Amino acid sequence: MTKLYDRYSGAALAAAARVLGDRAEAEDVLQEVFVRVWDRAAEFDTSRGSVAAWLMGSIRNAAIDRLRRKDAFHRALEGAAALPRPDGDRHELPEDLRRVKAAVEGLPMEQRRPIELAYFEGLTQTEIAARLEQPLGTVKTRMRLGMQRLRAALAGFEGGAA
Amino acid sequence: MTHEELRGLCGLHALGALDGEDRAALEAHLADCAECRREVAANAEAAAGVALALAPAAPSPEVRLRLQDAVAARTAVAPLVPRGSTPAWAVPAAAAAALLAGVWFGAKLEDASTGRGPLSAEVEKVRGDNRKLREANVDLGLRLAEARAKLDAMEAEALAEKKFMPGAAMGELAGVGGAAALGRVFWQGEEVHIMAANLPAPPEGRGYQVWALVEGMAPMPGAVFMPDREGLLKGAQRIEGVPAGRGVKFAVTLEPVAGVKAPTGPMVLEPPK
Repeated sequence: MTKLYDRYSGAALAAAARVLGDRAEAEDVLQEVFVRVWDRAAEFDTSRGSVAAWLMGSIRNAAIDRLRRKDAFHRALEGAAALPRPDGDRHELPEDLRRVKAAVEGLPMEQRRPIELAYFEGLTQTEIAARLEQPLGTVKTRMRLGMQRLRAALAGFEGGAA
Repeated sequence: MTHEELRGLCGLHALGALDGEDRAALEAHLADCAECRREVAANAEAAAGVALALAPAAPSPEVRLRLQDAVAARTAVAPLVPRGSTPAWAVPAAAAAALLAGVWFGAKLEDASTGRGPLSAEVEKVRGDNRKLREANVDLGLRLAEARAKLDAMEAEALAEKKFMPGAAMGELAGVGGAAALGRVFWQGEEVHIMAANLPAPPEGRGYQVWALVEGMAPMPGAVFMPDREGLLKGAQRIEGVPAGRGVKFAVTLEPVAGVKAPTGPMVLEPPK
């Protein structure tokens, strides 16, 4: 668990902060999720996927839930000023996480944008189509292609806890 | 929608982006389609990449402390360290309870003191010990999950090789004294199969002996097994006197490799309480 925290808390906090736009709240989410991970560690089924995907999925869902509960007015006031400064330069990324980063950054923007809107803002396909002012069919196709590319690029990535 | 069309929606589902009819159709389909469930899981791995690709931000040190406190609060209520049924086996649990109590007591002492001097050093030591204990408990949870996955794989393998009938009775075994070991026993009459994971290598000249336990009777000795290098143990044996039905439990103790007629060594795996 300590290993898990050391390895993923940086990425998890960055993801929660990206969703919530607030560092303190993101840290609350981080703590909440790691406590839950601890509670449910014994139920974790390794055959269903990696610990990394389980953890990052939990972080994302908890942050989106909190985002939805947040008052839109407050969100506007808090803004992006409170976003944590990335520590990417100070903490050298492990090789496999660099690969993930390269894969995501390598996506064409037309595919990456709707995927990030779904992931970080919790928008559905219909909402994304409205936001991007694109036909629903186009959005779905682009997201599907983007996910296929990501999977191909990440094939063999072992996101285990070790 | 066809299976192929639904399969194409799995990526969006993993992103939580499906809505309306698409979502309803895929969710209904997932209940019956293992391939699409795997597809969603594989896409969830890719979706996690979206977050993992962000430049990491270091959480403040307080988050780690708050996390440890939250976990410790749970540990105090429901310790992961199993309680042994005899004084010898109960030592680790007693030590854990003493440590937790020590921290509580230590904190009180600190309140009353200036927070300096030998008392403070004592408090710090107890705190440090307690932190180690908490981390050990959290690691234990993950190691148990790992052991369970290994047992599932061994069981599937044994079933595929028809080592035992699918209708055999099954019992779970838990590691004693905070060990992350787990075991499973399958038996049919006197034929008893055991498998265990995360067992430490036994000391020279010792091995793991299986016992059948029936209320009101002396433990019935089974065979002695050695774990492999990865801590996995499996084997079959006939234990004489095991009654038909399910009123029997199993345990594993550390014994001389030749085996003994009555348990002498510490219990390593025990039946659930």
